[in-house]
Amino acid sequence: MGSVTAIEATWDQLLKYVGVAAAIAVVIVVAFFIRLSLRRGLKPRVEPHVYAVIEKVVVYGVVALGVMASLSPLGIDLTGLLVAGGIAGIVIGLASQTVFSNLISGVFLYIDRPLQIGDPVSVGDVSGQVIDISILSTKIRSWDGYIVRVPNDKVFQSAIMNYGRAVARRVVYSIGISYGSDVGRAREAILKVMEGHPFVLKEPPPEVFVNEFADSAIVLTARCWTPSQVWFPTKAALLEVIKEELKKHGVEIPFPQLDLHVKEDVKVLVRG
Amino acid sequence: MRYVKPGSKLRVGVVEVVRDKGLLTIKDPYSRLEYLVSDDLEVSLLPVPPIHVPLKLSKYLYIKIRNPVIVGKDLDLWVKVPYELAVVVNKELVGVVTPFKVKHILHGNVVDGLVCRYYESKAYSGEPGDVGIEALAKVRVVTNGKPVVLKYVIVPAENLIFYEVRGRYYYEVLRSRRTPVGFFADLTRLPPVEEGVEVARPNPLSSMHVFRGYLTTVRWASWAP
Repeated sequence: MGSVTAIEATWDQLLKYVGVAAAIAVVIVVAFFIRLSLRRGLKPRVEPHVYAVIEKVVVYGVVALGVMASLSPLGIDLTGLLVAGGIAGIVIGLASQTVFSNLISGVFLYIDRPLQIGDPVSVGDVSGQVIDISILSTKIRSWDGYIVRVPNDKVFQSAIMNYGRAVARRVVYSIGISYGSDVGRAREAILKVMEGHPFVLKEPPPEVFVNEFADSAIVLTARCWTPSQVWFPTKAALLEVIKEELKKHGVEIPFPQLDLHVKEDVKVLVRG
Repeated sequence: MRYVKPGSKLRVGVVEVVRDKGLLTIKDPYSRLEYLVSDDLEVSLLPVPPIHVPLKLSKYLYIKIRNPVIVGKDLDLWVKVPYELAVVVNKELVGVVTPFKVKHILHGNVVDGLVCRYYESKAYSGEPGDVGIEALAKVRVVTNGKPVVLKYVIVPAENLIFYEVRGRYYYEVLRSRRTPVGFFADLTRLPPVEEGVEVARPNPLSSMHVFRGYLTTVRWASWAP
């Protein structure tokens, strides 16, 4: 009789093990299908580095939860494990707050897409071209050629100027001419240079106007638009040619000047 | 197609071509090409879409019509248009120069707009006789029964086909239609004149992609007045 009970107990135990094994197999199959659907549905729409993280978190999360749930018929108490896991989670969470913040910012950067690889940008006090956006940081090659790694939470919180999003950019100069020079001739000379340049756009048209009567000069503001890709070389080239053209038109660019008015006669001793 | 024979000089608009004592020199306001070329090689100049010089910034050509035309029913107009010259040595593309001064224009706003190569022309009701060095384009204006005021037309010029008749270049027939963002032309692949012979297209030209990078150095200054 006793041996029959023992056999039944062993049989029950065996069934439980088989059930658990089957449940784990089902969990693995489910995880496999989730991964398959993620690859079909999400992978084409997401950056590869972002997708890799999402896939790992989802698939391993499903497997871990499924395995824990499957083990319960065997009487394995996971409460202690969960409590320990919770405490460990808090400790790890506090320690990795910055990492987590960067990770979340990386996800938001992906959703918001204020930057793309190749964009010329200014992020905070860093300016250059974006060369990589990873889940934790963004790498920018500064205009000096340095690679600057900016944590994603800094990128997310900073004011971002993306110069590549607009198809055209404006070039602005302040040009001081002497009070004795003809403003009309100066305007004509500057407009001639800007209108002659192949990259200065015809529309919106370039413009030149008097902006200020300063201490030593009449300050003209000259503005024109160029395609974004050639903004810098156009800006650099124009100014040099404007100076030459002003000279040709007899327009003087003055040095700082100061007129002194003496109220009383002053004797000045001159030694020969 | 124009051939540059040994010992010859050629001037097309602002392009100067000299082939002398084995040296081929080609100049336009934006570049200067110099090659040592032996006399047995064939040097030719082929018309290509006017979007490559000084830098390929756009695929589009914007033709401003100086005398705006009010069109009721569908109508054919003629305009004078620019081209660039591909320098080809024994079927090998060695450079592109422009016989015309280059300007660009922004169509639309600065964020979503379109940068286009710019050119101005009068519109003619028939094929004009006094063309000079410009090419000609026949524009079929499609109105769909609603009168339109045609002040400009934007041509997607990258794959434009050229035809040649007695040394004069022609664009393929352009079919202009009004879209929500302006007047755009479709390429029809039709010759504008019956006796038009299609000009061969130098192959590597199609690999000249629109410039997407950002220049940070000054590469030319010869445009200066």
